[in-house]
Amino acid sequence: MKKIDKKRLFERLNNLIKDYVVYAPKGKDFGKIEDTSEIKRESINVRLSPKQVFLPQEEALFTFKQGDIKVPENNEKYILFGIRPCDAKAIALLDKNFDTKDFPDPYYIDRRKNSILIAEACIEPESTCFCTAFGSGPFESKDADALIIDRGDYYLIDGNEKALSLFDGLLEDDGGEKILELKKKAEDSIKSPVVEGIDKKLSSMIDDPIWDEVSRKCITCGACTYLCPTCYCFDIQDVGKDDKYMRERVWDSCMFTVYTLEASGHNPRKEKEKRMRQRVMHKFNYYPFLYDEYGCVGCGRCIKYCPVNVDIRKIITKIMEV
Amino acid sequence: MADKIVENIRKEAKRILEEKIVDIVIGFEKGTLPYTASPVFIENPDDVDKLIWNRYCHNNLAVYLRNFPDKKIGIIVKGCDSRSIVALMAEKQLTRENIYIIGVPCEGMLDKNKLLEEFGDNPPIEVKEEFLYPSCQYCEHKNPVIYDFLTGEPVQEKEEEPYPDVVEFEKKTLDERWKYFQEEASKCIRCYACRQACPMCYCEECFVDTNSPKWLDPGIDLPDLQVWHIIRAYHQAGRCVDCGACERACPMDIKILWLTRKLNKDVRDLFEFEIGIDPEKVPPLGTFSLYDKEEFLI
Ligand code: SF4
Ligand code: SF4
Ligand code: SF4
Ligand code: SF4
Ligand code: SF4
Repeated sequence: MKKIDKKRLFERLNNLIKDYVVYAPKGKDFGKIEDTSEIKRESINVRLSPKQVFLPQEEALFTFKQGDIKVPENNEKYILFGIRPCDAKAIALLDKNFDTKDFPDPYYIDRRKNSILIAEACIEPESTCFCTAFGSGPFESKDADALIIDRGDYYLIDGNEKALSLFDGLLEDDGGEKILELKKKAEDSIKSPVVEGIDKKLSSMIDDPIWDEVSRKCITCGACTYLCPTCYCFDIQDVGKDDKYMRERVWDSCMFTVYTLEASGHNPRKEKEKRMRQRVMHKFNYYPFLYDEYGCVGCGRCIKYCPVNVDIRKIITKIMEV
Repeated sequence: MADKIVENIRKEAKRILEEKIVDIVIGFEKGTLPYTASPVFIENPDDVDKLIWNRYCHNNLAVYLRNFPDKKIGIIVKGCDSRSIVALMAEKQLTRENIYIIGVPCEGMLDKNKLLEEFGDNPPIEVKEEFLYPSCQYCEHKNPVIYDFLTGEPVQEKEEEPYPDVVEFEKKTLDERWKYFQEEASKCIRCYACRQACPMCYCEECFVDTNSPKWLDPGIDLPDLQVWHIIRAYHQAGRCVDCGACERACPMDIKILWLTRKLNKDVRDLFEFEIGIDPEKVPPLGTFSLYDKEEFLI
C-alpha cells in the first residue's frame, strides 16, 4: 500500500480533467465534475449510481436522416473517483451482462474499456448496507482499479498499474500503517441477512404464495430499479427531436406494468407479485444461474429510497425461512 | 395519546376481522429504517398487534384500495387519506359499502429527511411545526371527513388561508417561476413513484405509457420532463387532495406539490370547488357546464 497527500491528489485530478471525463460524488448524487472542488459527499453512498456512466438513462444508438445513418462515436476516457466497493462490484456485474462473447454491446464496452475505477473504502457503512452478504465488503478492492482509504489529510491507496500511474510521483511509502482494525470495525458494523443457497431455493418457488405477501405494499414504481447499480433493463424507441431522428436506448424497469405488455394486449406480468418475483428472481436466481454471482451487491439503495419501505433484506429473510 | 390510538386501532381492526365485516385491514406496521412506518395488510385477527400509529405514517393508504376488487376492506386513514376516499367515490371508483373506514385525527406527519438531517438516528422527544411535511403544515382537514369509527378526539383545524405557499409563489415573476419549475423538473428520472403513490392516478393506461399515439418521448430531455410534470399536474387539477404523497414518494426530492396546489387553488377560486368533501359532487374536470367561467379566453 502507498500513501498519497489529499491536496496533491486533487490537484492531479484537476489536471487529469483535461484528458478524462471525471465522475465523482457531487452532494447527493454521482455526476460529472469540472473541478475537484465540486466533490462532496452528503451520505455514505450516492443516490444515482455510477451505472449512469456506462449505461446512461438515455442515449442515441444511431441517428438517421434521409437514408443517412450515423452511429455516434465515443472516444472519451473516464475516471470514476470515489465510488464505493459495492458499486465497483456492480460494474463488474454489468460487465458480465454487456461484455459477453456472443452479444458484446459496443456502446457499453466503448465507454467501459476506457475507464478507471477508483473506489473509496467505507469506514462507517450505512445502516442499509449489506455488501458483506455477497462476499464483498466495505474495504473490498478487487472490482476497482484502485482502492483509497481516507486517513484525514491523506489517503492510503492500493491498485493496479493503470490507476496508480495516474498519480505518478505522488505516491509515498505508507510507513507500515495497519488498516486491519479499521476494516474489521467497518465489516462488523454491517448486519447482513444470510443468503447462502437462496438461488437453489428460489428455483422451486416460482408459484410460492410468498410473492403475493412480499409485494403487497409495493406500488410498482421504478425507484428501486432505476437507482439499483446492477439493474440494466432498457427499452429501444425511435425518437424525433427538432429535425434529428434517432434510435434511442432508455432505461426501463421490470416493476412497470407496461414492461411486459405485448402488442396483442396480453401481459404475462400484469400482477405486481409477478413483477416483484421477476426482480427478486433476477437478482438471486437467474443471475447466479447465468454468471455464478448474485445480481445484488447490497448497496441498500432500493431500501433507502422505496417510498413504502419495501426492504429487500426482509424479503431475503422470508425466502430463507420458507 | 398515540398509545390510546394504537390500542383503539388494534381493537377495532380485530373486531371487524373477527366479525367478518371486512376481509382485510390496511394499516401501518413498524418500518425498517429510522422515522419510518410501512404499509401492512392484515387478514388474520391474531395479527392485529402488528398495527401501529405514529408521526411517520405518511403514506396515503387509499392508493391500495383498488388492489382488492373482490374484498371488503378495512382501512386506517388520516384526514387527507379520507378525502382521497371521498374523491374516489365521487369518480365512481369505490363502493362505500365495501370499505370500513377507521379514522385517525391527525396531528401532521414528520418529515423524515428533515429529522435525519437535524437529529441523525436519535429521534427527538419534542418536535416543532417546522418538522412537518409541507402538505401537513398547510392541511385544513386533519380530521377524517368520512369514517365508520374514529380512534380519538378530533384535533383543532386550521382557519387560515390554506394556500399561503401558492400566494407567495404567485408573487414571483414569470421568469423566476419558470426557472424554478425547470430546475425541479430537470432532476426527474421518470421513475413514476409520484404517480404510483397517488390514489387519484388510477388510469389503466397513463399518457406517458401509450405508444400509439405516443404523447411523449422517453428519456430525460428537459422538455419531455416538463411535459410529464405539467400534464400530471393538470390531470390532478381539482382532483388532488393535497396529501403530498407524490412529493414524499419522489426519490429525487423534487418539489412537485406546489404545482398541483396552484391548480387546486385556481379550481377553488374559479369554480368554488373543493375535492374530497362531498362524494356526490363531481370535480370540474369531470363535468361540463355552459356557465363555466372562461375569462382566460379572449
Ligand atoms: S421502490 Fe418500492 S414501491 Fe417502488 S417498485 Fe421498488 S419496491 Fe415497489
Ligand atoms: S437490489 Fe437493492 S441492495 Fe441490491 S444492488 Fe440493487 S439497489 Fe442495491
Ligand atoms: S431486476 Fe428487473 S429491472 Fe433490474 S435488471 Fe432485472 S429485470 Fe431488469
Ligand atoms: S397529486 Fe399528490 S398531493 Fe395530490 S392527491 Fe395525488 S399524491 Fe396527493
Ligand atoms: S417520483 Fe420524482 S423522479 Fe420519479 S417521476 Fe415523479 S417527479 Fe420524477
